[in-house]
Amino acid sequence: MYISEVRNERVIKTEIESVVFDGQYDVLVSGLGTAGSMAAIMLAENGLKVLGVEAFNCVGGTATIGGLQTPYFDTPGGRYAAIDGVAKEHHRLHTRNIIESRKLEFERLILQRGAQIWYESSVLGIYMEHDTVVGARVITPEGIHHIKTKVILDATGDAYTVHMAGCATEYGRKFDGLAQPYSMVSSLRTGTGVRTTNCDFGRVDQRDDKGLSETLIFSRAYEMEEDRNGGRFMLHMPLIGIREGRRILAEEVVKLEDVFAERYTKEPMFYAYADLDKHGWDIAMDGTTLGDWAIGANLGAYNVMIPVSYKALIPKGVDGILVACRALGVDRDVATCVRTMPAMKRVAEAAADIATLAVRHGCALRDIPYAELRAMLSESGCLKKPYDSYYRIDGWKNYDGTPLVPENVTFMTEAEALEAKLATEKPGEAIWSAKRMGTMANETLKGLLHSADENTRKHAAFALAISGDDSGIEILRAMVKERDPLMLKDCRKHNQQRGCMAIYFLGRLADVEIADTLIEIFSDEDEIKRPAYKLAFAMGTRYKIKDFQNEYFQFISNAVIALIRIADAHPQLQKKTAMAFRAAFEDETYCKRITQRPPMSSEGGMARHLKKVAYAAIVRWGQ
Amino acid sequence: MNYDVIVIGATFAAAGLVQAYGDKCLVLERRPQAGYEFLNAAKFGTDYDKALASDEAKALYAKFVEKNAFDGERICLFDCAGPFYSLLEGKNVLLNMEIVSVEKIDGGFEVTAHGVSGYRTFTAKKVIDTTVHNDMVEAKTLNLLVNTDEENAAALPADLKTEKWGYEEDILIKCAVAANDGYIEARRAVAALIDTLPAEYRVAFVADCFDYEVKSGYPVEKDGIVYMPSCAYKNPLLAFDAGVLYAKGGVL
Repeated sequence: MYISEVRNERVIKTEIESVVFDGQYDVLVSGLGTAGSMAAIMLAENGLKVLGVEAFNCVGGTATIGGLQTPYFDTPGGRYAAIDGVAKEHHRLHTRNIIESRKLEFERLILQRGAQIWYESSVLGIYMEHDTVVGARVITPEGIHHIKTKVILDATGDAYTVHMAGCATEYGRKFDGLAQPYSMVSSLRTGTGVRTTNCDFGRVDQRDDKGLSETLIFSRAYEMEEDRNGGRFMLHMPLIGIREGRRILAEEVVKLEDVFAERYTKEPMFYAYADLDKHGWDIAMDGTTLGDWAIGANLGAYNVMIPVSYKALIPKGVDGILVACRALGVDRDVATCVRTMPAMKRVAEAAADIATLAVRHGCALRDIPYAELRAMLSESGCLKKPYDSYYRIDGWKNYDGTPLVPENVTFMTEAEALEAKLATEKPGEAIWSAKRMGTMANETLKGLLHSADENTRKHAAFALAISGDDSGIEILRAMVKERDPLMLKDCRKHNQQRGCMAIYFLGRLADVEIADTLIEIFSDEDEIKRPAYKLAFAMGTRYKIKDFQNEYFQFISNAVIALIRIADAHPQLQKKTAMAFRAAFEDETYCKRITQRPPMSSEGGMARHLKKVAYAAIVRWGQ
Repeated sequence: MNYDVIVIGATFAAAGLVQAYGDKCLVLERRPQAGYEFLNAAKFGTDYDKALASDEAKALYAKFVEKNAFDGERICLFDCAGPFYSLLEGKNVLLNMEIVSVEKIDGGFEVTAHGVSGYRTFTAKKVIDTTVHNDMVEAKTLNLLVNTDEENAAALPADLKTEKWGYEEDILIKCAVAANDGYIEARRAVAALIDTLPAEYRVAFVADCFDYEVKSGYPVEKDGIVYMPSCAYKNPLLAFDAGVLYAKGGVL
């Protein structure tokens, strides 16, 4: 037997002769947040002996001390609805804010179902025999306990426990390793009522104790204006809203490229449903799979329905532990869709049922009979497809504040059908349809490059470029040179300006000829005076950030990334590009053109990050 | 990592200590918050007429005044969180750190803590614990704010301990629990109390930290560790002041 612990950021495994366990459970739930609290209730309802270990002093996590009142794109189905219903009824009768009702009622249900809760307690180490988890070392206010358990369910949000057991994990986006910005929810008073805010405050790597502490302190010290509108400040929520953490290398990993190619799992546990919700304004750095969707086709706020395999909860190579949180096995792009509260509650149900089946059958987690799991999840509605279509327009309001009518999206399959949509200011579905068609539509699209209609011509150039065809390259270059300001209107938020989309595609096509124009965009101090940056609401009226020149930031961030792609493909440009980067970014005065916000703020951090990205390329090129 | 002083608990007293000690001081806190013993306990303090000795505490008082903490008849500290957290910016403060052990070693102490980066071990000549321990507690309550939109609402049950702190719409109810009770017992007591409220009342906020009444005799030094429970002070400014003064003069 050995104990696996984390010391100074490293996993250390130490052989031990034996351990005297002072408690024995079927399942130890590490973290009683959004998913952990649900899982504890469901596991106990399934008849298992359950211990919940929670670092704070209440249950609910993001749904309580994280301050999130309303789920993002809730869809019916699953056992969580009845549990939520209890809190809703308590809220109707007794509280101004459902958060307080969830704290009281979820805790009551866990205890009533017979599970045990240890507050202000944390898992310090994992006892293992070979590659199987057999117990945990837990610190409580009363001292240290050694708990024997058949299964550990990691609901920490960040796979702390799975990581502690030595399982492999990933973090952040491929390009620069960063996670999405975090938010900080404040509670405000409006007369007798209570409302909560939810503003992005910055970025944090929550695996780093010093960085996390600095972030927690900054987010409470920085009195952001938007965070205090519409009420009198009452309190900062104890948890900051971290959107992205470790992701396990699971038995099955859900990848966005597979989702777009409709290569879906055959063993789903539920269907995630939301947009690929990026949050950061630096979409240019999100890579090309997401970039084609969000920038190239301007479909960033379209909703996607993603079947998620139950094997995404089971870490590779280790038995006796699984995740029930956003740390499941998905790639970073899919993680942006799968992290919502409704998804996490379904993850909780699936994890609880997987653990239950493993205990009942005495088998490894990866060997549970899927047919039985499927039957359980189907009966509760957890596995029910929420919609007929895998793609939808959904939400409450359009980009201009008008009411949004949700609808299913069906992409086109005939080249001839593309022209009508390309002629509009909502060409996104046609551009994406062209990508799905491969080269089949290219001849038709080439013909449209000569159209008398400006929209058709320009959007046909996009539709060709998204499949790697550079026939429309002159049109793309012209859009960049004129800084084409038109904001397309496909989405309820995060709409792209046409000039930015052209920059993105010229980067993808590695176009040398556009390099000087791209350098001009981020180098010229007068660039910001151009009309393209005066729209005020390029990303949609509902997402205006004060003291942040978002349109300008979109152009220069896309220009930097496009130039890096071009110089990567054409090494002869690297010296010149390196010189341009140094001249533009060295003294950081460019940051002040983008935002006046502090360096640790979301916008201030993104502006400063441009320099890091540029300088990383310089180092990589040996310049 | 070596420090002159390790302070346990990111309390108001700790903020005073770290202001005066500076870089040679490390604050370790198990919660993701600071100043919770007042701000998150809905414990707004008394004795604000008592003079503050340090310039640092006087400056903090001025910021509280700017935040309208003492505007009107009621004291309300909620909006003082920003200025308080500002005091901790740039200081050695680690939140989310569970204290696993404090061992005496030659020349001081070795403190082992566990957080998001795993175990960390620190050494210091001195340890000052500003948190409260069960054996220090005389009494404790879990506080909640309730209010009503009804002008002619029924009176609250007479046996409830209520006070007028916080926002003017609110009534602060102190739900008493036994000194050894944990948050589960306290929250069950709060839930039972809520059931007794007249139907027109609604709960606006339940504190996430106990409001402690500490036995007399603190601060005190025992086995080389200074115990200075921040919540033992009548208000957060006095706790902060005590921290600054101790760090400057070493006198309890």
